[in-house]
Amino acid sequence: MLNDDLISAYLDGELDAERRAMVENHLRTDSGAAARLERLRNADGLLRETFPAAEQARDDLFAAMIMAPSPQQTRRRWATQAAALAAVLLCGVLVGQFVRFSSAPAPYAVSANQAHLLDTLPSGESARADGATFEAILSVRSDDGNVCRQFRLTSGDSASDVLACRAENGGWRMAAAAPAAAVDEFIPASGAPVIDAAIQALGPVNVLDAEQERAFLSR
Amino acid sequence: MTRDNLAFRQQLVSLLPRLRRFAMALAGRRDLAEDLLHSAVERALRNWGTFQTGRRLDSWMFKIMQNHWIDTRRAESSATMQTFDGIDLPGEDGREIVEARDDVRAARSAFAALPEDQRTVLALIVIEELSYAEAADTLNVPIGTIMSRLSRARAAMAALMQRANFAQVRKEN
Repeated sequence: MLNDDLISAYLDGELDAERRAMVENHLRTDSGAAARLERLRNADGLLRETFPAAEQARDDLFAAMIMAPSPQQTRRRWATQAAALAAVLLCGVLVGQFVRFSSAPAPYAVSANQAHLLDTLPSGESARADGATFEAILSVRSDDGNVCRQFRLTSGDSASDVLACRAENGGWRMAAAAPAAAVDEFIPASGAPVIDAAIQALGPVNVLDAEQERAFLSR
Repeated sequence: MTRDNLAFRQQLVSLLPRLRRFAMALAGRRDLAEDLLHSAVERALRNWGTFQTGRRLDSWMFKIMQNHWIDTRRAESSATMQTFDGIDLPGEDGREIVEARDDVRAARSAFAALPEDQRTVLALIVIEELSYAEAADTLNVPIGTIMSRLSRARAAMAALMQRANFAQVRKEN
């Protein structure tokens, strides 16, 4: 007589070869045991149907919560904003949506200190702003004359890559942001695809060389 | 955010449907399950540094959820009753419909009638397809306990469902 423990473990493929052979032998000759196995297997199948793993709309909220940096990394206001935007953008990337910054107003402002650095700091140089290290990375100018600058904000072990574009009123607005890999890691910029996509969305652009950038900064 | 952390978070996002399902199997009620999922995700994000790469994230999360559920239940005595009313199945047009098939409904009420430890082990092994060793680790009990609990749970499920079938046949005649 097969007990339920054995039948159950057989169903789950948890028996060693010897005991599995024993159970299979038994099932061939004992129709009661075979019927018992079928009933348990059938109940398993219905139980799985009862609990489907379906994706749900509210998963987006959880995903945003998961992708946002943890509270101790967001003491600074800029970080909260960059992180929130980064989370939105990342989730957008995760669900395969493409973010076109040019068609929608950017929801997050660049701080006054950051705007000042964007107006004055040459690419390749770093400065402190709002409690974080601000590192200017590059400047591009689109065919219609708009200038955007990429920079990296680093605070503790958390870093974000940000693309900001100069608005017509002379202010700066954030066009894209994404978490960057930590400085000590091999791959230099995991935020790059998001930033690259945002730069591509500008249309054809020229990367400003040092002289062109100097001219822009001293305008 | 380090790259490891990012990978961890992305994996966590991809597990959400299964984590919600496990929460539902534990809590039995949609609102309690959502609370449980929320708390477990928060706890995981606080403690992600203790997650060892190479371990299964799903089983690590189930452990967090199971522990949290026990804590919650302890705090609220055992006043909450499971209902299992709110288990919705997605319809073909994307809307949620309540599954009306008799056998699935019978399986649902049979599951709801089981003691919590049996529900948990069924959820981990039958629904989430963990191995006995992984389930034993998740619940912090020996494998022998998993085996006996599981076979009792299956026997009880089968018996309850058979009873429901008889009742159904009587009703139809």
